[in-house]
Amino acid sequence: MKTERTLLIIKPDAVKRALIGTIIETFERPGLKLMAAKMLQPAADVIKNHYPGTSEWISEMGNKTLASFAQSGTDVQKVMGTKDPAKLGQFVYDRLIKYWQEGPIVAMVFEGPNAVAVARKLRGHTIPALAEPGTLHAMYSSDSSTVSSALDRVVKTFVHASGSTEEAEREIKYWFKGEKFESYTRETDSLYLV
Amino acid sequence: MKKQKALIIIKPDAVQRGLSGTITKRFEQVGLTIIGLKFQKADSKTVIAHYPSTDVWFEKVGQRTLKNCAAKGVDPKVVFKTADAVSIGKIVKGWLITYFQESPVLIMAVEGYECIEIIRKISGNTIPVLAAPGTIRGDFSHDSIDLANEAMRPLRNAIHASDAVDDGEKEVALWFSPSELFSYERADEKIMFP
Repeated sequence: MKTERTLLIIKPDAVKRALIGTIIETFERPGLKLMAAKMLQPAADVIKNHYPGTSEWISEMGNKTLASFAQSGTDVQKVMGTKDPAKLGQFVYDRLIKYWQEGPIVAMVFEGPNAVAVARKLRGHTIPALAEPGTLHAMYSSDSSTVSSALDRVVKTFVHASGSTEEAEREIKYWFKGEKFESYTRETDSLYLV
Repeated sequence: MKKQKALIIIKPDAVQRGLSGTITKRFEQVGLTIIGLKFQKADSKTVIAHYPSTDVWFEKVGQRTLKNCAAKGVDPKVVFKTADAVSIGKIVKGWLITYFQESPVLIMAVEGYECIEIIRKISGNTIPVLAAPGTIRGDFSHDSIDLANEAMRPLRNAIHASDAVDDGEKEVALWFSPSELFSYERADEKIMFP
């Protein structure tokens, strides 16, 4: 049976809301196996390098911001002072780092068949206001870009989940550099994995 | 009043049953703050130091085992190859270490007012069969001394929780380095304790 690993991060607002257990439970319940976890409070640099940070990536973030402004019918020029995707992207990037630094975070690795897709599904849409009912982002937040931009901050996407197996591999190496994951048996293994 | 610190460890039986999140939730729900968290296989040196290594402690554990043997009509010499309480205490410590290292464990440092008393209350009797419903051990296990003795193994009681004020501080210092501990305010802190 081919299993894969994914990276999940519980961000500061969820830690302060005492949702650590609830979030771990959400991923444990379908049988994903907790392989690693640690609480940490990373420096700005460490958070910055979690993201690809290339100019393409920054512009893409800017374009996403433009799209969400268009969707909500808000004038991006008026709120953000620019319509340039690169500038908007950089602005969001800086605010993201600020958000991640609001308190300690919990980085985790979960393992299982299709772990990346399973975890993304349970996390739900990146923007809580758009997340499907029953997903973590929908059940524990209703934050949106309209609210966040009015308050001069990013949307608080309180659970990070790797978007693809390649991203997961890179992110796990990044957050758990050189750490060994001990294998063990979950109660569900004998029912589904043999 | 000063806050107290305590060590909580979700042990291998609970980890393998996928109960790490569910149990962690209980400590968060009651209002305690998780100030340190890591998931890893317990390092031998730390586990050995976690349990006392004094003859007084070995004697106490050995005597308790001898008493159980007598009550069950079991000859300790057959089981342990000795009837000496200290030697039996040492064998039992070995069992405890093996159990602790059966899988990775979720190690947490928690903080709160009268924290030790609170975690004792919500953890329940260390002998699961005697733990009250509503407590962690009462709700998630029912292992007993008789079952454990019969199988020559330690009690599987889901969690370790510091049970004295001095132990709390000492155990947190044993399992966590200062850089792994964080200080933050829960979102509901001021509502609970204005």
